[in-house]
Amino acid sequence: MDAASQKGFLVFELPGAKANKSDFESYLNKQNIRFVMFNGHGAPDLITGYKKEVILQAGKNDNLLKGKVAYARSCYSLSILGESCITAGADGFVGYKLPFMFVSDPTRGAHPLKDELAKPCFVTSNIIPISMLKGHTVCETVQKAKTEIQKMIDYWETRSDLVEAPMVAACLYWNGSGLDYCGNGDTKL
Amino acid sequence: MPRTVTLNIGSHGSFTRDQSMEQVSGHTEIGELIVQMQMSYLRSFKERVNR
Repeated sequence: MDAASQKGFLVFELPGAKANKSDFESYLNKQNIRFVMFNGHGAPDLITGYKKEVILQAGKNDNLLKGKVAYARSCYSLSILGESCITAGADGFVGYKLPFMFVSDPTRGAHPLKDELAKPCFVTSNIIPISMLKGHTVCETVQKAKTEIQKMIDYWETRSDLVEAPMVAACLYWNGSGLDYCGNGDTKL
Repeated sequence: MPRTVTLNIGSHGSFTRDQSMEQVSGHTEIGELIVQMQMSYLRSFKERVNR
């Protein structure tokens, strides 16, 4: 969000209880939104928000993303939902074909970005919105994220000091394998 | 993995080392995912080492 604001983008955030279907649909219908990032649970054909309420579903309200670019850090959402959003008119959809995995140790930090074990998966995942906001195409963005994931894997494979390191590397590889896009790869914001 | 460390699998939840082992030995959906994740990484590791 900081990156978006620095680039002059107006940011609308729907945290916690505001991540409900009604608010989500209202914002997309009323505001001139170009990029949507989801950070909720997912299934092949849907993404959920607060208390697992379905906020975006293939064949139901996927037309809300018409003319927009989406990034869903939501499990499996690229499989069916991504394609249906493109069919309904979205310009691009970046997501995961597999469940997003990460290792965490709550004793190291409550927030993923403060937890040394969880941070790699989130930092590499955050490359997607940051790269899009910097003006890269959807295809370039996904490639950049995969390149950074591999660099991170290479680094964690050297961390013989941490018994959890192989698991961190394995999660990074898994998330990188599942990361892809559908729609026009030349799309920019 | 230390006991305080958890493996977080999307909307399926968080699993400690012991819980992960139970899922794998129980051949559950979660267990299969964990095995898939590990095996895909190990295969990629082997490919990179053999290059």
